[in-house]
Amino acid sequence: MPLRLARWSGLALALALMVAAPLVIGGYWLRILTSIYMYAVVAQGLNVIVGFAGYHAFGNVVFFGLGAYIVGVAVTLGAPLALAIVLAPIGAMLAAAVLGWPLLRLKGHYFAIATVALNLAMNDLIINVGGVTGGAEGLPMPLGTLAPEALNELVYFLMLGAMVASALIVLWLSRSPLGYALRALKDSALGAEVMGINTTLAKTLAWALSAGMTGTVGGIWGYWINFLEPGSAFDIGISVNGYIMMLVGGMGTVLGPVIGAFFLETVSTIIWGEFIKVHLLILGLLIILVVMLLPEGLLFHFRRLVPRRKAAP
Amino acid sequence: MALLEAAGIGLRFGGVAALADVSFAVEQGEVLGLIGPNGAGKTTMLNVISGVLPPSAGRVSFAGAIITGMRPHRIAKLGIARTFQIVQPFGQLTVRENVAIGAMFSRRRIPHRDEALARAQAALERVGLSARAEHSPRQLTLAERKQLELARALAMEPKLMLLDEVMAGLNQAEVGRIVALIREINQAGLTIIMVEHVMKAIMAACHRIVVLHFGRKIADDTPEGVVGNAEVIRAYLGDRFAERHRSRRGIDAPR
Repeated sequence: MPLRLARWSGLALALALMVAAPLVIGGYWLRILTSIYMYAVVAQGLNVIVGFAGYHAFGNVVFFGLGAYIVGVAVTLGAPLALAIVLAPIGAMLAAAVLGWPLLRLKGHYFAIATVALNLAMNDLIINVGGVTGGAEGLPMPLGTLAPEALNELVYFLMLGAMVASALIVLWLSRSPLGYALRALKDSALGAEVMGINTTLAKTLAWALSAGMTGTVGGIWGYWINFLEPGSAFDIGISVNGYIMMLVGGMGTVLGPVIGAFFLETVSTIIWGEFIKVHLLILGLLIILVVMLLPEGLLFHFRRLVPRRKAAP
Repeated sequence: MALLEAAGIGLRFGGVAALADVSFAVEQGEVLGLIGPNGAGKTTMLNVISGVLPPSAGRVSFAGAIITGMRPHRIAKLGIARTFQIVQPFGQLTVRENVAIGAMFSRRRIPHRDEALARAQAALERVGLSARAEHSPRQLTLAERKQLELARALAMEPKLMLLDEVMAGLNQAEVGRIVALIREINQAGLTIIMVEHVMKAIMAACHRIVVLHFGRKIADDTPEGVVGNAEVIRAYLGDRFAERHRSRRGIDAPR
């Protein structure tokens, strides 16, 4: 029990610090923290479909871009921000549910490739549809009434809220029948089926949940940068980053993706500041080292540092 | 009325008939053995019943309803549990959680984690695996993995259990324990179909035996009847042995 209490109070303290941060830190670090929170949610979205269900959705950024464009188009058409940000995850979840039905029949790398292709297709779709999406020229969104600093603070809190919500959803998932179903089908879809698990439904729900998370932060991001273009909204690098964070932090865990996002974003910011010309090289080497030496993720190794106290006999 | 009835089951893989016109029934409370030489179609038959492979001909009815063509998870929820010859443990979950899956998603659908885990614990105690509850299935020995398969099936609280070679690879003492367990769960009212190569176990546990050979049913009789059946002996041991066996039969009857 005391360990559990210590963990929860540690989390509460960290959250209080994050809520208070805008009072203390300047715009630069506020933006970095905002993008940490954003990536934590992208990583958490991957955690649901990859860490729990074992479906390697490399192209999950498609829901990020979709969320961004839903917000972009909705705001351009005059919808209030609150409505636009609710529409983003709904749209992303619907897309995942409809596309997941056929795509989740694919296994292993075939599914991974299909999600990447899906992302490319969506990118092209936006370019060719044009019209209200702005097409290849991009979509400049109407300027809000907020001053830049107030906008940054609003986005900061929206991203923070999204990160907390996604971690709570994954905490719930880890204890719910759906979470058990996903972890079961990850190892043996056949074994799961004959034990009464509707694996098609479970996988589809997982991807929809994953898409909802990713679409939410995509939407917030779209509002934040105020100008959308397909190349940056559907940038596969966003998925890749989230993927690395999930791996580094520990996939299939509740806090691993969050820890991974903090670790990787902070380290990459520091490296970027120190070695501006070769920062990607150094970051790449570091990632390789972490994945080779700590394949279970940081969270697993943190836990091993904490001595497990046995209950008194 | 029989609990499960297979009528005219046929299944072709390309040009090979894995099953051809197989019909049999299992009565409520019965232990039915399904035997035959390698490649006879025993596991395929279990796959057809559990919905893993839809048959190309015939139909299976369970408790009065036709279940052919249903997805495996629907069939599982109706009350048919099965174990796999090649065990299918969930490596991400502990042994106890593996078993809890059975309670969560099968007939009873227990959504509450703690209750499902408690039922899992009871099933583990029944098969004698409770000491390993917190281990990963990867740490289990083959015998223990077979026990895990049994516990998972038990936790589903099924009406019919399909056991696919749960005794293969086990030693004498372990076989004895599992036979005792199968008898015990059968006496508690569960109907069982078991595929097995360990004849001692089949003879000890089954009320009736269906023999398959090249996908066809060649015998459907009591254990004693099947052992003396000339066609069964021919299928297992070849024509020459059957000939010799017939000539010696008076002196050297099978036990």
